[in-house]
Amino acid sequence: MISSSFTLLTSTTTDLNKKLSIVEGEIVKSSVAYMSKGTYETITVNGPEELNVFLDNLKSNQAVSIGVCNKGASGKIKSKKSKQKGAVCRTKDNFDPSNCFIFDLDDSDLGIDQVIPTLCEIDPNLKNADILVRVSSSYGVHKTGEQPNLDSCGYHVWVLGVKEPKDIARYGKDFAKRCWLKGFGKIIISASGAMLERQLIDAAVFSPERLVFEAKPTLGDGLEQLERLYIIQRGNCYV
Amino acid sequence: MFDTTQLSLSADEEAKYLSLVRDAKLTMKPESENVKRDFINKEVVKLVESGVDKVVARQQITMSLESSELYSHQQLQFQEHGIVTVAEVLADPAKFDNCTLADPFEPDYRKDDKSLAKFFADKLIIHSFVHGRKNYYLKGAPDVTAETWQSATQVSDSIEFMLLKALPSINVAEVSISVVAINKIVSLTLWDANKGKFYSLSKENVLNAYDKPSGFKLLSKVNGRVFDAEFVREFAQKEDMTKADINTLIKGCESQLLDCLVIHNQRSSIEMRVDMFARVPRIEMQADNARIVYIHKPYLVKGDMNEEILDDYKQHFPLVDDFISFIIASRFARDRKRSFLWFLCESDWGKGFLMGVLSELNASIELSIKEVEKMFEGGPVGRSMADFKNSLALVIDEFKTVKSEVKQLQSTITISPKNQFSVSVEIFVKLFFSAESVDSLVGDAGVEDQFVNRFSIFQLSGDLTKRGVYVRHGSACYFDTVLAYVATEFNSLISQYQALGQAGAEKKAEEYINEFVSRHGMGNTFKRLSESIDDIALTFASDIYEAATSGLYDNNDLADMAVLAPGDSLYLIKPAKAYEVWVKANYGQSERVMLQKKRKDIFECLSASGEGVKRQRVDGTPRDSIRVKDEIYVRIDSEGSVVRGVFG
Repeated sequence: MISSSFTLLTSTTTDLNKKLSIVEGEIVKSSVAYMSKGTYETITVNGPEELNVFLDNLKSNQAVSIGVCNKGASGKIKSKKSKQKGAVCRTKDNFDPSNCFIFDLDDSDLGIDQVIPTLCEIDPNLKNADILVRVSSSYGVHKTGEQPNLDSCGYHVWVLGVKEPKDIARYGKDFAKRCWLKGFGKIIISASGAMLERQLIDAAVFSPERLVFEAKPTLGDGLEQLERLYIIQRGNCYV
Repeated sequence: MFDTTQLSLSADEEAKYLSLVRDAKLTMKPESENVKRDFINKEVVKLVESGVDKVVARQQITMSLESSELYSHQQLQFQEHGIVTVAEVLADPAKFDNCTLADPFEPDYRKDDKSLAKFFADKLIIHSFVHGRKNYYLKGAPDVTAETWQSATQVSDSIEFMLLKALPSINVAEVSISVVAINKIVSLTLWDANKGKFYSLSKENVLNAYDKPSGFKLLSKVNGRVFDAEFVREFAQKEDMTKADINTLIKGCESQLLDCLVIHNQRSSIEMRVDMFARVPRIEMQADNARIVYIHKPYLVKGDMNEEILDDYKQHFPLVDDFISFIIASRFARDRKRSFLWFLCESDWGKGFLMGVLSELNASIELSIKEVEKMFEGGPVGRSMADFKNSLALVIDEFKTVKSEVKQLQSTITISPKNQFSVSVEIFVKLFFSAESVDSLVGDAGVEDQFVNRFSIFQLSGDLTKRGVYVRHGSACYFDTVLAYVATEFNSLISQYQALGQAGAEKKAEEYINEFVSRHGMGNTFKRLSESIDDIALTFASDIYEAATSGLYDNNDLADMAVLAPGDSLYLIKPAKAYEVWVKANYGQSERVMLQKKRKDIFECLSASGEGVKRQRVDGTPRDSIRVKDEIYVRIDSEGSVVRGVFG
């Protein structure tokens, strides 16, 4: 069994999970994408099952990142402006790639059982990897007494036991380009008319310091959530 | 283990990927243009409703989309503060620091989520997570004027008109006429009719010249595509237009822009400035000339500093930090009248070494006094605008004589390079190097006040090449360390001044120069000529008295012109001639000019009336003369007797 490491980030000033509430009859989602003060801790798990349990138990003020801090296994996080001694900023300088990463699939019309086969169309080698697929934290949130809208869904696909952590960023970019070659790329138009390049996965999530929101969301009055689905694949490429 | 290296892209696959993206964008282009146009129109209406001029509103929104900058009138939706304009945020950035807000361009994204972006006051940016990560920069206004924007809009309208006239069914939105690109070209380009060339300022801070035939193509390449000529060509072919007519149509569209430049941006002289506070270069069209405004780029720091060498150099040149600070203060000071520094250093002190450091950094321009004279005469010189671009110091080596032109070297100088524009350039600190004193500057009689007021002086000794550290490390290593140190200090000081803003930087620079001059001004070392006038007049008077009374005076001319009249009044007849003779007999060539200029002051000091030369009777004959005041040569001795003679 190959263990995988990543970072647990705990904010001391704000929640890091998504918040959903009903505003004027609509379900509105918000999240705090900034963590300026708190702690970090390197976490090591043995396989996707252990990772899934760990992520299920995250508190509302916790998130994770796929990298590990190069200044020590645990410590304090500060903002760039802070002069707090001994604390580190959550920047690329202080966080190195580790041996895991995620694919982030937003607003996908794939069912959860189709996710790994689809990714394997782009990189067949993924068939041999340890993988945990989790629906996004806001999956299946709906008004009490109503049916959830499951037409589209987001997924976080954790790939563990990566041989060359330093190659992850390059791999992410090439994977995104290969999505286009396999017919999973498109141009969408923003409200201001900008043409935005999009593909099956979000190409911007392969950075070691970036926050990954996995904690359960905070639900406002009148909302409830389906149980979050997951799928695990055990790879067979251990050496 | 999962091996990511198994997946890669071949060159063919990379090309295929690019082609797929390009094709997808082409397919989506009409929709994108329509959405963009609708977006701009909607935003313009919003701004106009809030009282903004329609032209300004359209300019700001259109520029904003292209530049990712947000301008004064644009609105932001903060979670905590509600809807505020960019101007309000700029007026009090601290109030909004770290506050979250909706995406500036898509405030209704994710149902008006006002936590998708955040404002950072230190850099005046908004970081948005919508559509991936993106930074927006807050500014008062675009780096363009309303006039150029209006010209650009007119050019755009003319192109549209031409196209619709020739091809009535064409969808102009698909031609993608870019007002932003046109505006950039109009803002950054001037036409010189004499040379038949366009001069355009690139974002790399370089003024490029293009001839007329290739002008449109190259200007578009640098500043962005003006319109989609390929689309026009394809559309026109489908409409069965002949190849010749298509070419004529496209050329006609291009001419709309070029003609605008030739008519409105024609100048034959330019000014060059480097704006230490600007982020992008620009051209300011003025009534008679064009002002090219470059941005400052930090000095390149090459290699490492050796501490031992640096300590040694500071022992050899203890004023080096003062020197560096003086240069940078002079760069930011508005008035550089007192930014003259004379290095009077013995041979082998290291003047060439220091000049070499400045030259290597491209921070100086070396001129001879002859070149300076030629520049002031408007003659052609072998110097171009580029020589002055990064120059902090004007260097005059082998300083031997001071002429009136030196005083004119204050803040700007005009150069007329051969076959190029006549250019006014800024000059900052003026450095003069010599191993020996300069008689025309410093004479026995003192230093002219106007030079004392301007010049500071470093008198330094020692032989750099004989220093143990210099010999041990070698000249190259020693030079590299000093070079790196000076570049680092330049960059650090410049950053400090920039952080103060223009007004703050000018104030600090002026204060520093005043302190520097109080420490190193020539007045600390040499007597002012004005303070010597009494002494000179006394000496002159005594010589006149000697000549008039002894008859033994060597100089017969002077004896002829000094008259001791009845009553023992001493007169000087033909005073100008007498003074010239006297100066010639007593002072060196280089001091004579300076003393001749002081003749009037000396005559006034010499004369009994204080008026200098006046018409009066001498031995009964009216003459233009000076009656020497008694107190210069008349004394009452201790016994109360009148004594006439020479009193030093």
